Amino acid sequence: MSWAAHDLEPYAFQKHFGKRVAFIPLLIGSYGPDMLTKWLVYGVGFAGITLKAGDTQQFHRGWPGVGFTHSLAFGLLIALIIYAVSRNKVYAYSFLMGHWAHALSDVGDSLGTMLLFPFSTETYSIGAWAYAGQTGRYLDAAAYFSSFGFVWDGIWVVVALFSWRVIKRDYFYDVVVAADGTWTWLLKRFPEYLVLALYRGSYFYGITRWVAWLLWVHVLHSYDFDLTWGGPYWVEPVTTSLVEMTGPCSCPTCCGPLGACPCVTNQ
Amino acid sequence: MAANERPQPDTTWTARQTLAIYAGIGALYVTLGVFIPELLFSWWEGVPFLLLCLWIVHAVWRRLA
Repeated sequence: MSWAAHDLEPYAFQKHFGKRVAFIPLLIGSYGPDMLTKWLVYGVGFAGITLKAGDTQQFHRGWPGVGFTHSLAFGLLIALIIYAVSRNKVYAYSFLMGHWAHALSDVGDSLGTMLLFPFSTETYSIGAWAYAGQTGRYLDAAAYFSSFGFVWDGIWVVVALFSWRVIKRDYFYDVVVAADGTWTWLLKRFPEYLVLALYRGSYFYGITRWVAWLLWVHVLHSYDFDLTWGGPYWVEPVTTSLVEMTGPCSCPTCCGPLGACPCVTNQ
Repeated sequence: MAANERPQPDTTWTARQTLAIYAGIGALYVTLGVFIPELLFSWWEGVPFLLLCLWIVHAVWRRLA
């Protein structure tokens, strides 16, 4: 998985494609694959109840599971639905662009994504950094920001900084608002400085959290940097073969079809 | 308002002041995030933090101006 990359990729696309994209669907597409699934990877608690996938890697990227959200076909399906509802091609392919960027970015980790689902459940991975979502969110963050993942996000931070013109007020009106009437609707109802902040929000969030995580991981704590391929060495990476080995759970207490079964990890 | 028609510019802040305010809020977010990393996990924490801080700074600024 990638962290700041998903926040910042839309601004790079915005700079490149200008009025040919709509920023809101582009951003939603970029967050889309994790939007409704990441909560259960790390666990979410409410009123003393914690919901968490038992086998995080199977749940997040596998099948059975919600790994189909990271497939190219799923992005295309949602884009077609967006087109059917809105009759707006720009909305549809902007979403598709953001979604595919996310799915392809996540190929960088050791687990990869089922890019060709439903035609194949094979996950495609280049294994540049360890997928460590199963270790919990703090160790996952520590592993990611100690590995090549930190470099990958760093590249996007640099690209975003070089794309700084896209967050200027003039650019916002000349290009972003001109391409998507949703912003005009928002500007009629909310103060300009807040609407501009909403547009700039992911840029702000991506860069600041990249800095904050680096400080948390390497200054407040002292996790070792390991920029070797597939690192860091101090976390056990989840790989494609591990997910295929465990596969869907068949135990009698299995929670159901989404792979959210606490016993899978013990197989 | 037409698609690319601009509203009256908000003259509360100059461009440099806006940049300084964003940088200040960013520094605050980084500082808080390092000690309370729960703030760093989700867009739903980071972006509302920015909006809330801007709203507070804007209100205080206008009152003092």
